[in-house]
Amino acid sequence: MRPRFKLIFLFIVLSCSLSSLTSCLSENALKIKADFPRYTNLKLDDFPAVVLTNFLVEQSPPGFDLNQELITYFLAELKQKYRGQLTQKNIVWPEEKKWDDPQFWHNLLGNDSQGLVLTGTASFKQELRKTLGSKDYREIDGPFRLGQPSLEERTVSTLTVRFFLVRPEDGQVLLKKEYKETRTAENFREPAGIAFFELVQLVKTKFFNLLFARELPEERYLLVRDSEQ
Amino acid sequence: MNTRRGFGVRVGVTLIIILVSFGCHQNPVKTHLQVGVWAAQNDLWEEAIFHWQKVLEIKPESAAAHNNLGVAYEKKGLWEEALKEYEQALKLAPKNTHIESNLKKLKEKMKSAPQTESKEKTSGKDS
Repeated sequence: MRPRFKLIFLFIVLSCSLSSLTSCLSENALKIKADFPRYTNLKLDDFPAVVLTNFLVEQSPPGFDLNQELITYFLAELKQKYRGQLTQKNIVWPEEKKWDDPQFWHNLLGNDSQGLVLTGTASFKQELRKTLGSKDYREIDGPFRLGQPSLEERTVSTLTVRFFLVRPEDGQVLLKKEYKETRTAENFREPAGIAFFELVQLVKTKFFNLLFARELPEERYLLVRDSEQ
Repeated sequence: MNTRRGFGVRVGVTLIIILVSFGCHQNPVKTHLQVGVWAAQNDLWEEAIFHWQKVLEIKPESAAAHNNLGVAYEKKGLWEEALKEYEQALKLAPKNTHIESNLKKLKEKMKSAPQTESKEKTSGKDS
């Protein structure tokens, strides 16, 4: 073979190798970062109307209307987030509760409810608990117990809310979720209202994440080609 | 002499063009896959789903299309459908670590998702 033909042949072989090499070496997969629904595929916005009912109050501090506070709070918060029609309705809770029985819900909520029914039970209690204090107390008029921690009183508030999202036509419970939040306050005379609003916000954040399917950034791999291509 | 040389160069260039164009030739499967990926990167997930479904029409055994559809369904919140697609993709390409990673992440998420009945407990902090 003459030298110039050798050169041309070499040039062709190199070009072909380079071309196939670039296609072979290109990445098979691509990592993408996108916002993926995090909690559930139940989206409240998929339903045109929601009825918020009164809550069945199991326990509440004296002088604190837990049911009314919950209704007022969740009506206001739902109005901000929910795009559909939101109404409120009072129901009369029967003596016997069969949470898992669709017939119970159907009888309770009836056929006149326009849309999904958001209801539930709630309990809010405050109690004083004694604990070893962290403050360094000093007795100035005696030699005893210098620098020792003393017992201190704390107010422990607990809010428990159990939500039911029910389809009234057939009494089917689409979602059942219970939240229990506690708060310990150094102020042993902390008003029930302050503790309640701190706790109900925690409940709301978690529950709304669930109802409105909050999205968070996550990484997934997309494949650009099949391995044998 | 010069004429022969020029002829040789022309033949070489022609051959290169033919071979390179064969190398760059995109089959429809590859094209749809890549357009789908581009659409997904630009947050056009419906468009991406359309292209990956097209791939499956042409080549039902495409693990890449099944995997990518899984990602798209997951993005739409259709977890059951996403799970099926990932499993199908893994069946077609059992050693693909990227598909395994996607499937693992989805399963973890499904495990931590609330079921029909669940209970959460947390403690608030001292005021």
